[in-house]
Amino acid sequence: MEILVTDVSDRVTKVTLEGRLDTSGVDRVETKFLAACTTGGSHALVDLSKVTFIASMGIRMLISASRAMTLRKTKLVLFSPQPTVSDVLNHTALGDVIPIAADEKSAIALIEV
Amino acid sequence: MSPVESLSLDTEFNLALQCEPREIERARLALLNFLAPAQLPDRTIYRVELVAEEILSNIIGYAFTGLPPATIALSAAVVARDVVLTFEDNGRPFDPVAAPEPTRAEAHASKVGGWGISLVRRFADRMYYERRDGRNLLEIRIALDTDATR
Repeated sequence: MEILVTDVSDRVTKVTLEGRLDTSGVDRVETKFLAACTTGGSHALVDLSKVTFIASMGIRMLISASRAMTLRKTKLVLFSPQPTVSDVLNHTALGDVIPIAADEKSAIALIEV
Repeated sequence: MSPVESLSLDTEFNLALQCEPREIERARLALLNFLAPAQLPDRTIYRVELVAEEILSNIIGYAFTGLPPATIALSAAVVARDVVLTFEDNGRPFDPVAAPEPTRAEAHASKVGGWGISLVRRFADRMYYERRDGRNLLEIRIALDTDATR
């Protein structure tokens, strides 16, 4: 599991996750992911296009980040999940608590709402 | 004859696991190695991996809380047109078949994978549970033929 953090603007950070968000993958990236989402007061876009697998531990990590950001009055938006990952996100109704966009442009638009 | 049908029905995979989170990845890699000759569709492999991940993380996370560590047994086979995964442990009794479906609020509030069993129900086709001789026995079937429509 890899994580890449880049600045989209002075108020938006993009976090690209690559690999598997299972127990092992979450264990590797969770601390860095939560720090990337909550440090600096920026909104966060999370690129899921390179995430090949997600299980309940990955869902929990995303919800944890979302909660921490809500407390800081910043937004978390996910975008570009692969179809099998999208199936898990849909089943767990993750979209009820975290906006999920089809692509980066749509994700940025959701941040700016 | 398809690659799946060419697997001998008595070909079976058995693995003893310690009650440690790192064992989940070892089990996954061993399962993939066992299933590789069957050349299963990616979607089927995804379902197998998800079921194994969720059930093993549940057993390791909950079954032995307050109890001495024990080993967990995982077996797998391709029977007819099903991938059959069997999990066995001597932890506290837990019947995932009978476990109530969490509400969205409950699952989202859970600190440890509250959606796990729900996801297993979504991605598996059949589940059988039995408590026998102080052990949890859980058989989960993933039918190859449902992939096209799921």
